[in-house]
Amino acid sequence: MANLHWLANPGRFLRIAKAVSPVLAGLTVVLLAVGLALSLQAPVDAVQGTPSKVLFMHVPSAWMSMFIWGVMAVASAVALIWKHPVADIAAKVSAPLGAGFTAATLLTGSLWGKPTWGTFWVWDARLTAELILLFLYIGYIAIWQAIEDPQRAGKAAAILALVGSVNLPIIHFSVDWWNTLHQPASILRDGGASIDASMLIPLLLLAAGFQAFYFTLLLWRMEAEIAGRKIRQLRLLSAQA
Amino acid sequence: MNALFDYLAMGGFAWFIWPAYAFTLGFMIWITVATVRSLRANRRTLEQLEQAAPHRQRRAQRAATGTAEVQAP
Amino acid sequence: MTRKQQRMTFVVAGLGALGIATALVLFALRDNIVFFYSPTEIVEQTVQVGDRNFRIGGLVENGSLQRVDANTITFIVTDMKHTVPVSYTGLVTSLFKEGQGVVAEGRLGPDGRFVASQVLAKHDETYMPAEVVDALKAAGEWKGN
Repeated sequence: MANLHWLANPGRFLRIAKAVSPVLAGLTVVLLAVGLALSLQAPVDAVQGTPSKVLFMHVPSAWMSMFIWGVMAVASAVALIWKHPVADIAAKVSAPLGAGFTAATLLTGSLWGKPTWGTFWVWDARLTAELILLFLYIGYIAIWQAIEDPQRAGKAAAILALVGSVNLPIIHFSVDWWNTLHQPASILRDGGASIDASMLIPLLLLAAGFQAFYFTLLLWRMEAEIAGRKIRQLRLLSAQA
Repeated sequence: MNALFDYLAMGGFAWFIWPAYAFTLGFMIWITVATVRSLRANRRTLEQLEQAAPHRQRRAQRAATGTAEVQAP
Repeated sequence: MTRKQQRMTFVVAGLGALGIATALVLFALRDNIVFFYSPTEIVEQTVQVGDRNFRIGGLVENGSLQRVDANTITFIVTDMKHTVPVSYTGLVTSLFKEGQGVVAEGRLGPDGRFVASQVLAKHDETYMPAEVVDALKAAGEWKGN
């Protein structure tokens, strides 16, 4: 972690972010365009029929919903232990992205469940744990909005991010630990992926595109947040002068 | 044209598949627009403030990111 | 210990304690988190269901699905060890077939027949286009049904 120390300097971070973000943005556009085009052309599952198309939006969203909370938890630990201001900002600006992907996961899952399972919603362990993740995101965002002082807000939010990370293994393993209506994992499982290459390739391209999208937005939002804090301080200083 | 309509009908499941695509991609587009807008606005405001008071830049930067407490004058 | 090490110890110990506490709670609640029971648990009465609502899950036994009238079906749920007969009035999706997974909600009648108020089709984690399934079947390598 010590080698991350040099990134804690906001000036240096901003210079790197400005150099990297155009490359990431370009990569995002290419991956999403190719992934989307291939997903629309991909064949449908023999048993499920056309509703299996929802897979291409549901699975990458679900992965992002968990990945982003993971990033927030790691950034929060770094912020709490090493007092890195940039880590605090990374966690804060990630939350709306994670909340959006969690909402997308629940909504697309619902639209997938109705024509296949026969219901929009059931209270099984997987679905309930994902819904709890949405509430965790909302709580996290609410803390930042409710506490005015960024130092205190950051500390309280960081603790929630760490506590909430307990939910991540529960979401992932819920389908193995308990009887659920939700099927087990298709890709991250023993014995390799159980998805035919014609569907797996577009899915993985879209998943990579969603990842690149997150990191692009993360860099832009961090720059906007750092600039916003500078503006607040400059105004405070000129008011005091 | 009929082939296109058949495709869009998604075997009768269009109302499940296209809203799933629309919501997910719509969210991604919406948050991109909101992020770029606030980034541009903040960049512009910051530039104006820094031009108005260049000597306060470093203090504000340090204070903004919590690396040092603001000293009251 | 420096302040940094103190904070690190605090975070690691806190997460460890939280993890253990969560594991214990989940272990204590394991019966309540179960979404459905298997036919074996019902037949061998390892769970007491009484006349309350509960869910039963398993496979629709091959050759057991019968249409009683336009809206009512009967079938047998099996976990390959024990079976429970089910009757249901209502709609099912096209995924509901013999040999496929099913989760039914309802209550057990005095005659041992499960009267379902909702029947949900379960699907597995494999995704194969029809052509691939046909090719696998032709090659004799298809493991499903």
